[in-house]
Amino acid sequence: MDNNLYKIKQLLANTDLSPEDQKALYVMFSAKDDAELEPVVELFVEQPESVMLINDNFKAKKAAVLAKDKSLWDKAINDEVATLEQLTKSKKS
Amino acid sequence: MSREMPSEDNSILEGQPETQAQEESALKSPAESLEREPLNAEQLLEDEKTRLKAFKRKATKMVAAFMLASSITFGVGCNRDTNLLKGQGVQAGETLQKSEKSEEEQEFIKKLEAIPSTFETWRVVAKDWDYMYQHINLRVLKNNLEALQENVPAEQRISEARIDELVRGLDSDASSGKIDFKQSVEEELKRIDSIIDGKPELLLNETQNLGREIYQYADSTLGNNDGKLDAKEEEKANQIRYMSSSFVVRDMELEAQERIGQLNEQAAEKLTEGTIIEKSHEPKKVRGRLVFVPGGNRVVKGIPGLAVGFGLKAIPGLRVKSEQFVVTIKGTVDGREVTKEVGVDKETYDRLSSGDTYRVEVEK
Repeated sequence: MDNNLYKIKQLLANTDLSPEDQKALYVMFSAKDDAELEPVVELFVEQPESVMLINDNFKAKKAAVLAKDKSLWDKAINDEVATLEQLTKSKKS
Repeated sequence: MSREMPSEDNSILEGQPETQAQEESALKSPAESLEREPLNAEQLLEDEKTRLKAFKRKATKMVAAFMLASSITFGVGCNRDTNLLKGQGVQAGETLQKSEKSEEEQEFIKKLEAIPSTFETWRVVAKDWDYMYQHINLRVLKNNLEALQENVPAEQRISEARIDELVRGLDSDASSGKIDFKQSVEEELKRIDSIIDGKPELLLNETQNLGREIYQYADSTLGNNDGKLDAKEEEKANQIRYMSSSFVVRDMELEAQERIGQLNEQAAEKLTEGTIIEKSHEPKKVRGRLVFVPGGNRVVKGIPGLAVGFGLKAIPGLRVKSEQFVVTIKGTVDGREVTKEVGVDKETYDRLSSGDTYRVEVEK
């Protein structure tokens, strides 16, 4: 039984994400070994708003890879870094 | 048994642009596309890791989640293939023949979608790749129906003739009305669902076989590009490989495993008699520890002999955990082999050996 994956499924069900997006995230995480999902579960529990961020992040990366477009990938990573900068900044203040 | 449609991935299957950026990218000319820098998964992951290093301490979990999303996108460190780059033919913005489906096919697909069954995979396949259902899904459906029945009591089995009828109904008579498509398919698939609900192991096997079969089909029929396949067909082949190795099959497997786990737990609760397969004894644990209590003395520096009566004082204390005797028994409930751990007293524990039969006392 994949405990963390199961927890993620439950946590996603409590978000405003569309059922399609919930499922996409769920199946995405199901590709990893359950133990690797521990930080994700903790993140989603501590910061429920992060689900949206991870969802957008995954979608952007998937789009970049499907389009085989490095500029799209770079954009996704730049957005990711900007998010982290904002997050760590707000933690400081 | 409810089954979720893996519609999450329709964006990939249907080739719909997911973001504005992707849409813009799709509009680029072929020449522009050729000039694009190729994606090197290893390099990109390494670069990302380096860029996120600075945030690792302050936003550990978020960094982990971002990195996880990237590695999954490239299929790195995954327990199944999720490498989107493998579907080389998949391009943004391209619609996969959706508009080319005939009215009859669309009607057929609608009917398929209306049936509650365990064969979601095929409905998804049929939905997005019309030719797939024409070529193989009926054959596989028939095989699956037969395979599913191997461990089913004779009286519950669906006759071969009925399966043939069902498949024929799915195949050509569905739209002609010769067979009451909805009723016959619904009835039979509901029966299959009930069988699977009792024996999810069958579903698991069936799903795994299904995944293998799709993959083999894609490989043998579509994978050997001998010049007969055009670019579009080749692209479909790539997508089928991607599909077969990824989400749909895995999702069904997970559900089956989940159900098996639930049934095992339910059965274990009912287990009242079994053979002892393991004994374990946890001795009484007495751990010393220091307990802090108010009132410790502190000598004020520079004033010999002056003791001030405040602070904390450490005194030895004990933490006791009682002795535990556990036997693990193995037995069968409703045809399901399960194990259960049972706590026993010391006398019983000493008396019993592996292989002995143990009966759980059930309170009445």
